[in-house]
Amino acid sequence: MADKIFRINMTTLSTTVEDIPPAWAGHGGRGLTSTIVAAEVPPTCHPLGPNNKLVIAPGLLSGTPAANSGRLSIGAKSPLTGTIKESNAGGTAAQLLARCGCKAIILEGCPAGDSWYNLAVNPDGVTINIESDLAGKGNFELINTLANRLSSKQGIITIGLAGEMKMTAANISIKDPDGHLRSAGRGGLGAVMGSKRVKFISIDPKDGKVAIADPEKFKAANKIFSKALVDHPVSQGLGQYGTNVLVNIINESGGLPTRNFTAGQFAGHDKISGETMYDKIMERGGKPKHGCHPGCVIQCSQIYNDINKNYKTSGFEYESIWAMGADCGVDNLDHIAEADSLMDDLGLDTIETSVAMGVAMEAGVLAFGDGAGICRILKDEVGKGTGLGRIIGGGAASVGRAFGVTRVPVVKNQAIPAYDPRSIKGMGITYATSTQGADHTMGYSVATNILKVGGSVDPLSKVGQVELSRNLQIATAAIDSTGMCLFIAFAALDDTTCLPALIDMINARFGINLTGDDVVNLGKYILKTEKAFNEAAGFTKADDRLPEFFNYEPLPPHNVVWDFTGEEIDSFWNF
Amino acid sequence: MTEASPVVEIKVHADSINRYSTLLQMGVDIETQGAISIGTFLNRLPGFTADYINNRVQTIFLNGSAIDDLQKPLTGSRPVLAISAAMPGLAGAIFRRNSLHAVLRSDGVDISVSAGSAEPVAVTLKLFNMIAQEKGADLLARGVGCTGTQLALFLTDNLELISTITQVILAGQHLDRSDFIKHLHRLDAIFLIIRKDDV
Repeated sequence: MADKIFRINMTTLSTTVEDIPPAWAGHGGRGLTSTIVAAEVPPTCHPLGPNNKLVIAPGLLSGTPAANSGRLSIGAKSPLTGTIKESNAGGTAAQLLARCGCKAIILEGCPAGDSWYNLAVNPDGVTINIESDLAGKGNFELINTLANRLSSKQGIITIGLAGEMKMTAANISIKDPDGHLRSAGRGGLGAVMGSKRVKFISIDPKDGKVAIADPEKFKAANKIFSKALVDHPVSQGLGQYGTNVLVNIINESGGLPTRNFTAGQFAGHDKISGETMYDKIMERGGKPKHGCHPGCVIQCSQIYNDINKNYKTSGFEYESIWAMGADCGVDNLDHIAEADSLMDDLGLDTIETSVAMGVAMEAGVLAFGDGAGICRILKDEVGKGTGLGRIIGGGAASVGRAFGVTRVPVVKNQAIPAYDPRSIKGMGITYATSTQGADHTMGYSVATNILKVGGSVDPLSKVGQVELSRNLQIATAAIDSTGMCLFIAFAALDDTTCLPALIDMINARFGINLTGDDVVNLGKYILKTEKAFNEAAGFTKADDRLPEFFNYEPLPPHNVVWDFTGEEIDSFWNF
Repeated sequence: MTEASPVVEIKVHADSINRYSTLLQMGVDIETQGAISIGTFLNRLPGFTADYINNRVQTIFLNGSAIDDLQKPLTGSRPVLAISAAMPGLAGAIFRRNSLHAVLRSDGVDISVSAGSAEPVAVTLKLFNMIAQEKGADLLARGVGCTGTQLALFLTDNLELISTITQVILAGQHLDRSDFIKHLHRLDAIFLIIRKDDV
């Protein structure tokens, strides 16, 4: 079955199945969403208007047995940042879409009238249906309702009330193998889906399978690849403590942003750490290891139960726990879990919304440390779309503007995540130069040594550090095109067999002969494509900057400031 | 804290000993000779063989600064040493020992390498994640310094652990496990020993 483009026009309420243009054929995941957005979306369009398009693309290896290949990329012009955007998540949708023969879904136009719709995807194409039951419902009720309406094996992509209300912190959620949710969190893409008035997309691959050009070569490469992942010590730590293992480490470094970025260490770190979370999970009958998609061999997700040993949340990530915890001064893990659950149900980016809460705390809307207050505001204000709720649901910059707060940790309007750039400057370079606003996942430590893109300039100079950051972003962009989880990065960094095995799997899947250089060139192409879109949308070098308070507010305990000049940052794009 | 501080000896069910390792994330005191290297200090801890230190201990902070060189001396009048296995993410790679990405740390947080005095010092040692799980029980069995309040807060936050305690001895006196926490708050410094009850 040849892959196709499934196009849905919500203005005309029509669908088509199209051949893939040759220029798009070699792309998947982020490479494909950014290519399509750059080709078809006018850069100056309103992100919530009919000219924006939501593009949903499995990765190059989605739907195959490749380990950790279940990430789904979703792209559009972001209503939060105004830039091009790709956000990805686990769950079952990527693999099921690939099995439908769907290279990408392009959702365009906006319908007239007030009706909500659902889209049903199968190998024959897409059906548009009026959805009268589930509009106005939270994500959890939607998933539970659809468990009876659809077969349990169907994939679901959904928005919550935040997306319906077109809040710019709204995410898009994807059902995981256990019927819980994974989120393409960043950039407000849920608002774009809401602007198309699509409540959910179901995916039924029927008996569809993904063809592999050279199955034996693929199987051999996957065996090497999986072993590299399983054997790596970081994978072992992730499997026990999840990403929240980082709380103690980042706190120790003095880079854990605390109380709206006014300090780098949080006194309550041990109350919210991965180690403490692990103990609570075990005590309450949860699961410390859990995969967010079939085929995951790292299993960094977990099931976190409440004090009564009932399910509360899963995929309880470091960045979410930091944001609701240290950044808001909350040291009660159960309050944080409750807030995480509420945001999953409303369909909100936990980083953006929680950083917005931190700014609101500085403004005096509620006190630092008031975890119960966060939950109340989520339920009674954001969930009901009150004025305050919409300000917070608009993200950190929205709160800063509304309340006149100057310490607003955003780049291109997107909240800075869990690593203070004054203390960890490598993260700051990524935040400043990312094509998509502040995002810690844009420059991962992906095999720079093996790809020979570690840097050629003196690494102790700022120019050398910018070069290394650039090459991390190039490598990450390429990995984001495969549908692979970024956590393959650790094994790819240390095990010389890992990255070649990944390239071998792509070659075996398509019957091609990619090399490491091709991977690097793919990453460069993606970054340049995204930058060109942003420039056409009006972005300049002046937007590649951290907020000025980082320059003049020393961060305790090390009392460091951000000291990169604009000229040094701008050298990032010298390639 | 010294080994002359009141001794609190706790015996717990063998299958619960690793739960107590989480106490070590808060930091405990270990007395040692001053001016020794980080590697030497670690090597004197139970179970920290050279092979374990070289291969498993991948992230080290001394007084909040990431360390690459195990030969660096413990510095400061009260050094704080935190150790961890290899960590995920770009930040994890940045702080990892001898990482390619170490250049992306901030310049302003490097530490002095002055050797300092050879007088005994109390090192505040924090064990995180896999390191605490793998070596915490042996360290607790040997004994560590902490405050009574620190232990009391840990047990108060983890009340379910009380039922795993089979014996409590405070300064030579047996105490009832159900109410010994109230005694801890009065103690500024204790020498804490937690052992598996083999019975």
